[in-house]
Amino acid sequence: MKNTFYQDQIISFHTILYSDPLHLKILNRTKRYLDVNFYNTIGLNDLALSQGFSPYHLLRLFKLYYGITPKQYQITKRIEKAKNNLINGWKISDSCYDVGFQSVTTFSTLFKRKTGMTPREFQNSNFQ
Amino acid sequence: MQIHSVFIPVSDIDLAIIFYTQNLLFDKKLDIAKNDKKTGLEYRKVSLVSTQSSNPVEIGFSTLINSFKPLLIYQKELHKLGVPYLYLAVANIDIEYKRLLSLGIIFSVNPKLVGMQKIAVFEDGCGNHIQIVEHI
Repeated sequence: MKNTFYQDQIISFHTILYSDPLHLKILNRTKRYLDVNFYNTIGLNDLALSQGFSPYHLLRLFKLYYGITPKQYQITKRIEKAKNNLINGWKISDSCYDVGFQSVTTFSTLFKRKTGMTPREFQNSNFQ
Repeated sequence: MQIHSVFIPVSDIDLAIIFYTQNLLFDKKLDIAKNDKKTGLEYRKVSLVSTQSSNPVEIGFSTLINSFKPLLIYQKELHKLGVPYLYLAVANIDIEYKRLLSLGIIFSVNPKLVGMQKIAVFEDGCGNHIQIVEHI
C-alpha cells in the first residue's frame, strides 16, 4: 500500500535528522542518567567523558535530539520534582535542597521562570 | 498566559464524546447546550480533560465544519494526507497501541521510533487523525 504524505514525512524527518542509531543509544542513556541523578551536581565534562564524547559534541547532539541542553533538562527535572514536593505539602526550603539546589533564591528564580509562579504562589494555588 | 484549550472539528459531538471518553479515557468537564427559539440557532459547548494527568488543558469539540465549508475542506485534506490534528502524550505507547487496537481502532502509523520519540497515529472516527507520543 502506498504511504500517506505524513508517513513519508516521518520517514524523511527520521532519516535526515536521526539516522545514527549509536547517537540515539548514547543520548538516551545520557538522558536516563540525568533522570536518575538530576539532584546531583553533574559537570558537562564528566557527563561527556562517561559517554565517550567531547563536551561540545555531547552538548550539540543533546540539543539536536532533545531540543534543550543537558543542564536545561536537569533543571526541568529538578523543578518538576520540586513541584511534586510542594503539592505534597513540603516546605519551600526542604523542597529546594531535596532536588539539589544550593540556594533558595536561585531555586525561586528558576521555578518562576519555568512555571510562571514563585514556589509560594504555586503552593498557594494548590491549597485553595 | 497559559494554554487553556484546543478545539477539534467534529461533525457529530455525541459520537466524539463517546470516542474520547470511552476509548481515550478523557473526562467530560463541560457540556452546555442552548437552543435560541427566535433565531433557531443551536449552541453547544463540550470540553474534556485528561483523567491521567494533572494537565488542565481542555479538549473542545467544534461543529463549525457543519456550517463553515473551508474548515471542512481543511479537515478532509489533512485526513487524506494522514496528518494528525491533535497530539497526545502517553506513558507507554506499546501498551496504548495494543489497548486501542483491541477496541477496533484503526492505525495509519503503527508504533515507530522517530528521533527520541515513539509515535503512532490512529483515526478518531470523527474525521481526524490523532498522534500519540512517548518520549524515550
